Amino acid sequence: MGLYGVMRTSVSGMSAQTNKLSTVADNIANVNTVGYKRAETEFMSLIMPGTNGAYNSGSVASNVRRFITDPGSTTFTTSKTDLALNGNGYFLVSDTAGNIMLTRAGSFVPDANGDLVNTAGYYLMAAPAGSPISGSSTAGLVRVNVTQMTQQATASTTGTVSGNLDVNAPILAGPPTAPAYAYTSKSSIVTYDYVGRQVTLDVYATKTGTDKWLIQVYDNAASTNNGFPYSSGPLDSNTFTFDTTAAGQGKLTLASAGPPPVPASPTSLTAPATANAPAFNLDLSQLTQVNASYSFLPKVDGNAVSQIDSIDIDKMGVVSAIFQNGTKQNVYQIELATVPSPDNLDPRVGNAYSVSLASGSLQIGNPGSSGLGTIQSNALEQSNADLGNELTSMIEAQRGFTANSKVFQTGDDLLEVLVNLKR
Amino acid sequence: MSLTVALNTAKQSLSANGVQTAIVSRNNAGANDATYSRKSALLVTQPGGGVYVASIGRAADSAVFRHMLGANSSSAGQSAILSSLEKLSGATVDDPQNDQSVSAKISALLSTLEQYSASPDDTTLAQNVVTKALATVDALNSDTNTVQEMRGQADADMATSVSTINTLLQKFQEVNATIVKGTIAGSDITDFLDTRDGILTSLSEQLGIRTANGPNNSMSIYTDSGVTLFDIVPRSVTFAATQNYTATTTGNAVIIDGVPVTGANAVMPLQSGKLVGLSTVRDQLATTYQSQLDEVARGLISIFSEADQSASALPTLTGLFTYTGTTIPASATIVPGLAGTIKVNAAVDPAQGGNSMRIRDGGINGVAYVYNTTGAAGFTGRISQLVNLMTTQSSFDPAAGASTSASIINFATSSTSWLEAKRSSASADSDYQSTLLDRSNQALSNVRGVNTDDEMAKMLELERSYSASAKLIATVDQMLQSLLAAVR
Repeated sequence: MGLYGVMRTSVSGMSAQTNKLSTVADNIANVNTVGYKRAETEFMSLIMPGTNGAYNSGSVASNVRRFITDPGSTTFTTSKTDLALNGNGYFLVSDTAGNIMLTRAGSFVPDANGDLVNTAGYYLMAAPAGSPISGSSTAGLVRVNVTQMTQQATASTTGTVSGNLDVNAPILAGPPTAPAYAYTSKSSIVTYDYVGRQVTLDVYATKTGTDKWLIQVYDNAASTNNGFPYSSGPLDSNTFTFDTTAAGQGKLTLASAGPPPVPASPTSLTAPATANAPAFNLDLSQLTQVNASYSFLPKVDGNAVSQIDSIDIDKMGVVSAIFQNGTKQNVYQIELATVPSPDNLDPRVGNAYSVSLASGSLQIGNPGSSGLGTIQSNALEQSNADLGNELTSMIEAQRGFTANSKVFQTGDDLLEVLVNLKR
Repeated sequence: MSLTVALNTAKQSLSANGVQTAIVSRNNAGANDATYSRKSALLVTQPGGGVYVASIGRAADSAVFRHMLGANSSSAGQSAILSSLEKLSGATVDDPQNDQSVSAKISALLSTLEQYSASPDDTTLAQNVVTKALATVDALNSDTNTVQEMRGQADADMATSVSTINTLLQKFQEVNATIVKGTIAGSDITDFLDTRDGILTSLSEQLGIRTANGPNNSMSIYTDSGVTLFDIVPRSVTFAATQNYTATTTGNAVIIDGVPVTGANAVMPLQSGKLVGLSTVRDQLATTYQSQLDEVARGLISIFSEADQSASALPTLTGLFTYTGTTIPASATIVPGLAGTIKVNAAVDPAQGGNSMRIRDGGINGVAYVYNTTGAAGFTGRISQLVNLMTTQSSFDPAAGASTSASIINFATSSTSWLEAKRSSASADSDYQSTLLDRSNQALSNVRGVNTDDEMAKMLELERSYSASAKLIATVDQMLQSLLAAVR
């Protein structure tokens, strides 16, 4: 073997260093690529069988290793749909053909249809809100669309009131009746029906006796200029009693066995269901009657139909739509995934990775669970290649290549000497 | 990794610095804006990744702000009352040199009458009495006009105030929705919060308000009497303006969400604000003053009335002073608007073809009412009786708010005193309220105002930090440069 072996060994060395230089070139080229994971060429010696007396030079084999698990540093941006991951998970993305892949490149922007797509053209995939996906199956994942969200109307069913009725108010004869319609205080509450229309309810409080208040709920639509007379009777009305003793301190009267037995005050009023709206329960149990001015602060559920205004993505991957009426609704749950051996994932174009035999199968879960990490909005993960490192590696590869070529030249020189022995 | 990380961190430091500098700049720009509140950037360090501006904070104190709103309402109400009263007294009683007040006119009438009683055959003096009577009537008529015009003005101002309230509530709805959306989305809402506070301040000038905070920085507004003004949607605030006021006109009430909140029939009456001030002027102060003028007019008519002298039991009728009727109004009972219709009897006024000597002789209402039956030129019985009546106590309606038992001159003087007393107390109240408002504003400014010194110091700090980051970038660049130089 001898000299030829030396020359072949040095050729393998040169090609291995070329490989190293190639990965360095790639790393330097992608030093500013979002979500890029650097590659490094590692070497492995191949030894030929030989005896103690004769050494047969072997060769060197190169092996490319990718640092997929090595996180890059985070940089902050001004786009809400720029997403970075703090942890070991990967975004689930799909190409136009629907193949699911993993990536850390989170520079998503809405495309013409409103689907979030990253620089490499991969669509962000997520589970619809309320049906999270876990395990290894990607069935049920959908593209995240940020424009076609319309809020459904939610009809109001409950309202809670905190407030106070003035204990010093004069006692009036009874329910407001024509012509004077005397009442003590009035408030109005906005509720929503099945199709999101606003229904205003007028609530009248009339002090009919010591610690006794008649509270009536009227439909504002039946009013005359927002007041009496109403074309229809009250939707509900009841007399509430307040306990001004040490036991109650101005709260609604609770039942006591006595003597004398005291019946409990009602605590709520209910506007009956109609064809357009469900029954609406107004919880008045927090109402008090103390020496303070009248106040009536309602909190009512339900909302009107509204168009999307903007979206919000929180740490736990919940994509919520913020509607023009100032309400918020969860729309998607961004799922993260990982594999048992991420460094063995199959690299694809555009910083994406697909599952390979060596990597093991997908494990999907919610952000924040089992080490998948959390999502940072307005941020991007930088390339994990470092220019200083790569330049050093480049010099190493250059020197290695030069040395190998010297060995080749030496073998060549020796062969020439050998050939020249014969004249 | 390390060099790239160093570059990245320095870059983020620059961008965070930029945001902070922008905030310093905003603070400086808003330093002279009373509604502006100081902003500050809240920085968060990202593990292994530098620093970023997580949100923008705002200096505020809701308790101090609420206090300022209350002071603002009270001050606006008092100043509305004060300016109306100043106008009223300026036009009716204010200038003693001019003797323009009703009481001065009546005094002049009395002294002329006394002169006339000394020489009852002097027609010039009789003519003088008529002239003074005409001046008194003029004063009463024009004061009535002034009072009613002022009521009309207050009414128009109330209409303006109501439309301002409706506009502000509409604006409030927009700003409130923006704040709620911004809060959910985590964007910078601090300027909108300032705008909303500004709207609340303007609103509190018109009427007393209370606010309640809801989820996501939303806010509901109630009047200080508890009527809902804004909760999800603005409630209707309505007021039907009345164009022309007479003494018998009752102005309409302001109605919020179907509840009357001003006037005598208010169910949940407002406690403070310009609306309350205007409605007090329109429905209480001006009407009380009008009642006093009416009582003066009624007093004059009944003093100068003529009784039957022929013993044929004819009714007592109006004399020198008359009005649209000829019967004498009931004693101590206000006749609304009488001061506007009182006039000098045409039978006495030579300019209208009358005879001024009827003051001495009587007989304005015919021969049955002639006092000077003998036709004596020196007859003083009637004149003395009139002089006597003008200085004798009679009763006046207590509802007029002045003296209840006084001579006509004293009653007129007590009416002037009443107006001056009201004005002086309104002036004191208004001074007190505006001082209170100044203090509240100062307290609020201490909490949320911009201190330019602080901002300048912060700017210097930022400048240093920015230079340091820039230097770091230059150094890393140099290091990479030397590495590149090593490649041959």
